[in-house]
Amino acid sequence: MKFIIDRFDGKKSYEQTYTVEKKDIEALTLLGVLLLIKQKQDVTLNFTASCRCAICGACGVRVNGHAYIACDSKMTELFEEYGEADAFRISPLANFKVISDLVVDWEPAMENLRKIKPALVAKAEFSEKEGCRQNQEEFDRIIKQWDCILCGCCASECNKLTADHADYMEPFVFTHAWRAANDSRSKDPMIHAKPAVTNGLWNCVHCQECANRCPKGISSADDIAGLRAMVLKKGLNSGVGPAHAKSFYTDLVEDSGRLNEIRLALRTEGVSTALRAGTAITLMRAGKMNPLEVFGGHTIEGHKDLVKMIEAAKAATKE
Amino acid sequence: MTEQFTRREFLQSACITMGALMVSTGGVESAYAASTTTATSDTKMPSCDILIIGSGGAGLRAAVAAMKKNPKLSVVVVSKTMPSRSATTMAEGGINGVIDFSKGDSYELHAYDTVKGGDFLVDQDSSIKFCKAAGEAINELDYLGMPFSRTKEGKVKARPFGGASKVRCNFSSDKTGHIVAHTCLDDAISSGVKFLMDHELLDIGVDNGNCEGAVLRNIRTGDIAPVRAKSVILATGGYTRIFWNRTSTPYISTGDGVAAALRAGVAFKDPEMVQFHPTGVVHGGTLITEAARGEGGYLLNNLGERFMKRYAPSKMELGPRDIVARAIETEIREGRAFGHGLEAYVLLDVRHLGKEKIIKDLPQIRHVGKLFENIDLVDQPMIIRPTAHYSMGGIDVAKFDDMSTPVPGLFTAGEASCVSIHGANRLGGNSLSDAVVTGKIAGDGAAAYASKADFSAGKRLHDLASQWNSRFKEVTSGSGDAKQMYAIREELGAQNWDNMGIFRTQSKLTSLGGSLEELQARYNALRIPNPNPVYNTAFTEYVELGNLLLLSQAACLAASERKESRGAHTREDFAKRDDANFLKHSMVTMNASGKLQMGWKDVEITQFKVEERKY
Amino acid sequence: MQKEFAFFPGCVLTQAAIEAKMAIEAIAPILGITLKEITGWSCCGASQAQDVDPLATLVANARNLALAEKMNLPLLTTCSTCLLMLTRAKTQLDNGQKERINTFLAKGNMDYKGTSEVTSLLWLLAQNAEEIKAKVKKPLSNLKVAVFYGCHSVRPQKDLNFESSVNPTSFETVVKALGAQVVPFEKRLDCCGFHAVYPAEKSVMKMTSGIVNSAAESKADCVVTPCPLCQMQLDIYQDDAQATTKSKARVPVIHLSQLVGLALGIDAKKLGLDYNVIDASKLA
Repeated sequence: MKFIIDRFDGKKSYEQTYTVEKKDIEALTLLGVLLLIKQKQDVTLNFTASCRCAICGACGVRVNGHAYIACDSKMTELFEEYGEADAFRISPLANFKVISDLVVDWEPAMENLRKIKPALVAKAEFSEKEGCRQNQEEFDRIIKQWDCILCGCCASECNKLTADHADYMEPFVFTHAWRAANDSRSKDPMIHAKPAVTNGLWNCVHCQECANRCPKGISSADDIAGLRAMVLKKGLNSGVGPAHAKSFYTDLVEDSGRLNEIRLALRTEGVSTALRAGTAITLMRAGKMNPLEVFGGHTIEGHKDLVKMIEAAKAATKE
Repeated sequence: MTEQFTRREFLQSACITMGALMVSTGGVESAYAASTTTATSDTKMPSCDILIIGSGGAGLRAAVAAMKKNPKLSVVVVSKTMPSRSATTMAEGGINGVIDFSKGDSYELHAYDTVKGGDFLVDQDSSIKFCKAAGEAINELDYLGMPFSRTKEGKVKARPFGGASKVRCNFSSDKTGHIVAHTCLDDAISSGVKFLMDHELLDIGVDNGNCEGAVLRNIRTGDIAPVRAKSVILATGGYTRIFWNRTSTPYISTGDGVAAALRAGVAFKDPEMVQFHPTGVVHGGTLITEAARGEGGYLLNNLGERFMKRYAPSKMELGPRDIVARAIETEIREGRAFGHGLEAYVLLDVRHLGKEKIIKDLPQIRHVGKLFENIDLVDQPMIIRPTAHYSMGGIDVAKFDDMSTPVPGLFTAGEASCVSIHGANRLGGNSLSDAVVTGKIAGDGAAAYASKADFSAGKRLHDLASQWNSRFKEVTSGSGDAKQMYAIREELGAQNWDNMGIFRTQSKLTSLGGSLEELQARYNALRIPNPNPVYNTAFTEYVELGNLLLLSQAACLAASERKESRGAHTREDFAKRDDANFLKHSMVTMNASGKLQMGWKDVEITQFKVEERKY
Repeated sequence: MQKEFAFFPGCVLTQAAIEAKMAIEAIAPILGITLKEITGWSCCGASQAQDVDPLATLVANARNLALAEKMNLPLLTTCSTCLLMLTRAKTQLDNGQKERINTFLAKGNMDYKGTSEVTSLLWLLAQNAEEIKAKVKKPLSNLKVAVFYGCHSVRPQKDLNFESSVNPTSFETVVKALGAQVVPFEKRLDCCGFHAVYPAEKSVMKMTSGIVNSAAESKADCVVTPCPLCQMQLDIYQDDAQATTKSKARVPVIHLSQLVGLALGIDAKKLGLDYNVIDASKLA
């Protein structure tokens, strides 16, 4: 069967096909196949690998356009996933600059990590000499996000990064910001949350690729949501992103119980809704937008009960 | 005149006639800029105050310590790939350190356990200082943000561990090493540490007895450059890759720093002291954690018997690592195992624990079984064999207090170093302590030194860089086949395992010496044609193999000369420990003509009486 | 095939995607499905309210699920984000949150039991493709379709627990059962950007344009999507998006329910094809 690999020699990109016998690779992991090709067929094929047991994060690659860590991907599972294909396309992680073949540049990602100040800044009551105090529950709360091995799989398929990386950061960066901000030992969560806001927290498109690709089962999408909720509570309310999200909440809890699209547009962008006049007019022409909705939609039956339930939930969490 | 380079000045002075790397602002920056300028010296070489080779726990700790000690110094951490691919991430059990004195534990007791565990080849005063620093490091790590598993009182939680008379192995669920590595990395990033990624170490330059800096190869562009530094810290990890695939360590941990130090005139201390972990995956060598036995797993031979009853009747599968490892190898040798050659194995059976318990308490092992051997531990026993796990030996440390080598300006830390703290056998949980403690000490030491030192002219560096450039051209042109390189590497691993593995005899070691000579000759003739300088990993693997060969020769020499059994070093022809003749460190050095020589160094024996090692 | 469902239309079907409501109501009786709209259903949070107060949205969705349970019917939705929000809420409730959330639901005299499964129109049709095929009156044999799944129909795979997220086949199965041709379409698993069209407008327009151009390149007659949010993004904003990238291509984007309706021989007007912004009349 064939492995079609997207290669780059430092100057030009090209694809190269390697043929292997299926029986020779069935029992292997994808990393095993890459090593086999390099050692038996072509020593110039480049990829990074270190621990070969899914803890160092070195071997992230794409198979048929989706990111995996090669050492943790059994060929039998890939055969099952892609319907007993007789060819696989192997590419470097997307959304990273390619240095050579399947090797990518980690410097910009490290720079992004620096922006959110990844290290804990501990509360004043703790010290280097005495350490900190934290209970097991507080540890359990953040430890999943500490599973991150910086493999880059979450960043590879991130739709926002692909569209434009200049005003965004790799999803794992937001996860690192989340775990520092949610550490009970932290002096000030905003140390990490604020730079997350200024570096694109509200630009996530919710595509769920990060949550889907992470080999450790971390959902950076959830961590982004968590950071958003946190900064809203802290009063970092300004901007289109917060206004947009809050509009849904307001409709659900305070208004009719369902989305009011006219109000959504007004609340999100305020005066600059004028800029969207084109869309609004299109919608009204198409008969899809009822301008009278600005006065409020029909409240759902049982809304009072919904409100009572939500109040009860709020009261319970305050305790 | 003492030059204190600020970061800005360093960047401005850093130059080479190589391709420019990406220069990004902030803490992660390349050391090389496109322009060519000179700084204070008339040589056109890039330079920095402190050059740290290796970005595992030790290297990262050293960088932060150095920057804190003297913020005016330029500090660069060199990484073969990027900074989180180290062996530190693979450690699982925990990090030793006494923080609870209420049950009779103390730094002295930890030190005693360490000394005894090391079969008395441990430098005792250093071990006490080490254990004190290890204890203090636990709270420091907590304060730095390391998430630890917690006691009911919210304090750091510890578990009992091999060879420890008290409970002091502090942990973070089942991946303490990964957590330590990322805590150190976060700290380094937040502290503004500069990283030089995709660079490998070729050699250390020593001129007039002082360290000049290092020759580095930029793997991205292929450029080989001398880099002057006032202090160099070697934190490149261990050398158990001399057994190639019968080791648990990463592909990239090839002992580059130890080999470079040896070539630069620093002794390789206790090279024969390699720890073998009893349970490694057969096809690969990665570790199956001790927890599998801790939870009640059985070790079985081809007769279906729990053979440990013949080797450690009371402790059975939970005997000390070296005893269990020897037991398994004996079963293999005496024909009571399965398979043959390097892939012979015994069985680790956890089926009797039940599916629920396996899923709850041993999920990682089950995953490893499926991944490497297509075995589901719920239904089948796992196939395992001992695997080389840790290097007690390493670069000779002259003074523990600053982790300096005998060469002024050259320091070392972590698994690459040998004080010795671990002697002839390392206690579980002490290696993370080693990385964290000695890294910091080396950083402080390197900074103190660099604060007072001058840059050297870099003459030796210049020559070495020239030689490497020629060698690169020679090796990557002409005709040859990479398969030959891989063949040498496989044979090296097999030869080392068969002849310098868990059981050693003079005849096997002599035979190994001959094999290594032959492999060296074949290596010297190797040509791996690959004209592309960009990311030429064939040359990287070539360099690594050269280092592994050298380190194998050193270990073989020392194993041959140490005619006793001590700790992990088991001589069947000298089965007893011989304190009268061998209570000393083996020291392998390279003479002026490149030949390896054997020497010895006293062990610091002070507080603890040397006694028989019994558990 | 399950015939009766507690219907959860989701907010946009009442307004900006009114044609999707029309289409589902038109095709249901012909397929033999009864959709009983849940009385008093609330917004699912749309992944937006979740960013403000995750607990409040969990409560709201627990209520939505409980309302369906009261009707003794499984819940069916035609919006992918609603599908994901409800499915995730159900998973949380079934894995430890039930007791706690029920103490809040009790304030409104409600109780979540976990007896109503959550499904979508796409899943239902894919699971009963043969039955659907038998009902086709106008096989769409000359229609080239670019299937656009939309993120929340397939990701995260472990939450939705239905099919492979990297190699899904449900949509292709349904479209083929309707007799249409599925054309290979590079961006079939990409994101339309709907949820961030306000804060990340530039990026989203680029994403939308890329999808439309990819469909045009594959010579598709139309893009079909099971999610009304994707449909809105790709249809209502298509002119804007194509303007930002100076692209000429225009491809009609229709709802899955509209495609089904065409194959069932239902009149285009009844399927709300007039409401589609990019002219879809040629598909009828």
